Amino acid sequence: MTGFILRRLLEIIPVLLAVVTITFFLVRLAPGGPFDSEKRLEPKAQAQIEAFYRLDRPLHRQYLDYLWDAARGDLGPSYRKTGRTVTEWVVLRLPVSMELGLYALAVALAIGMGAGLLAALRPNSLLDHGVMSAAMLGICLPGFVLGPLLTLVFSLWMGWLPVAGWITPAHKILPAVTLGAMYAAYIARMTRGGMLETLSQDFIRTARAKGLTEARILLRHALRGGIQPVVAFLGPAMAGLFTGSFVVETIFQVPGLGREFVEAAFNRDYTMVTGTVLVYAALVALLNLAADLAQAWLDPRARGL
Amino acid sequence: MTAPRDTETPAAVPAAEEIPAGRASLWRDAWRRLRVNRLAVAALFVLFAVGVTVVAGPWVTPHAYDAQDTALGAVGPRAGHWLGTDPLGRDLLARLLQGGRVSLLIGLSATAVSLLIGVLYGGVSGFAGGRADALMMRIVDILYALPYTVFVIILMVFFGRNFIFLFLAIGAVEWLTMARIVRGQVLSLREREFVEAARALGLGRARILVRHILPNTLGPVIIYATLTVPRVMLLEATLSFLGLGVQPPMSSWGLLIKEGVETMEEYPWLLLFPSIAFSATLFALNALGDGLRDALDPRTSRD
Repeated sequence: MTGFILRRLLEIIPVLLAVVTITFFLVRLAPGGPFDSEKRLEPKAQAQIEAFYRLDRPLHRQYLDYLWDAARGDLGPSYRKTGRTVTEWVVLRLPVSMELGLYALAVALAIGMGAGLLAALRPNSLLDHGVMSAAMLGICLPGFVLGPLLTLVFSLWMGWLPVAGWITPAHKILPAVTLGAMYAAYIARMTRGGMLETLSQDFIRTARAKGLTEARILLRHALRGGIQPVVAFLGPAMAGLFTGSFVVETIFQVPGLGREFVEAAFNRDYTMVTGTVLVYAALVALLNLAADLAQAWLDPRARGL
Repeated sequence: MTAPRDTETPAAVPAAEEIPAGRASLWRDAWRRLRVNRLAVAALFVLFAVGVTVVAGPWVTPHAYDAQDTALGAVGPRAGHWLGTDPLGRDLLARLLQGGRVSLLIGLSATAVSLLIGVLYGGVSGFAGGRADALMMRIVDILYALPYTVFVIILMVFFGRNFIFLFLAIGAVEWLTMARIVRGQVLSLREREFVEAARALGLGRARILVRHILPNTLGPVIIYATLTVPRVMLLEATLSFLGLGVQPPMSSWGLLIKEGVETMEEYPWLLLFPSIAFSATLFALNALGDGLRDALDPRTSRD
């Protein structure tokens, strides 16, 4: 098991290297630099700025420097937001995204697994079709549709919740529901599928033959196997949830990593873009690993890997 | 993931006597199964209606999608402007139809790009086998781990919000799953007798792959392509919503939703109608994709 974890951790390195390399050269290949403003700076001042940000060095040198610094956790100074380094900005923004992600995950799991279990209890019943249609609708209502609609109804028309911001618990309800809704829909479909598959297996028939109650069969025996597709899905899902959603954070003005990235991209803030992308990729990789481990723990057959 | 047959609606499985013995080709069989899936048939009708309306509609509407009438401003649905107008006095129906053209065009062309790359890459990888296959799939594994939305956003910001670039960028990142699916199919197909027969007839490797193996992967490819279209449309709409996709005065559903959000308090219809059109189309595409999966590949489940 330790060997497995170690090997998977080592495999993350080339992925991160690829991410950094692509991002680094992509933003620098683009026409227009971060310090090309309308008013022309004095050549001396321009040179000073470029020297400070080490933009005067050859590109491969900048790249190697960046790699070396990044490996030690230093993502460089932000080109636009002076006063803090990119690492400091990430430390500031990431917890907000993770908090939002955690609430959204709670919403997604509660609604998704609840609905999926209900549907799996009576397959092909009216309840099942209703729940699955709602799930399909949830998948087809992306955040930028659902978020504004919820705001329209609950904030502007009803006046119950604030429109945007990230201050009181009331501010956090709509973003969490918006972000969680789509994941809830996927989780509902997966829970249903996984439960139905498990319920058709022999050991469930054995459990029924033993005369166990249906509730006990469902919760003690079927659930463990039935939620495996959900667990496998949780890795990528958590990565998406914790690193913040560009759209949801933009709609609700949540000061998280996702909005920071979009802003940085718009501002051509090279280091901020590269830094946030790197953090994002690292989190995705680690959470996927965590999901694989959780899956191995739930399913003894997968442990041989 | 495999699932037991009883997860499917009983109606989706045709009774054995309905199938004429020996004459049921894969496609006829699949059509038979699709036809009894009411949701999929409804989805097919909706998509057909949406397709005809957005293609023919802009020629018929009395207003051009970018014709402004600032004296009129934003008005609600009424005669002459069935879906109302936006603050610049542009007819929402005309913009919705034009936006549908753009969104569907991007969805279809980006899917075509991903299809072409994915099928060729997966086909070559699976057919070559051995080390080449291992290497090619390792590359796909690594590419899989990259954050694509992020790269598409970077591309759009730094290289200009070009229409063609948009769907090329999306198509180029959506081919990975297609490559995996095709490769898996080809791996098993190339061991089959008909391939051996083709080889015995002295056909070249390229010809065997393109003429004999790839056509047999069509089922899964069509299913996945149907499900790729809504994903691409979603990505396009997300980009347009962030201000990175289609730019005004051009129209797309994502852009209309973005414009609708900006004025939703005063003119809610500007948000509602585009949202309905977009979500209904996504719903239909997903439902059709699910239906096709049940019809063409009964072994896999809905999930």
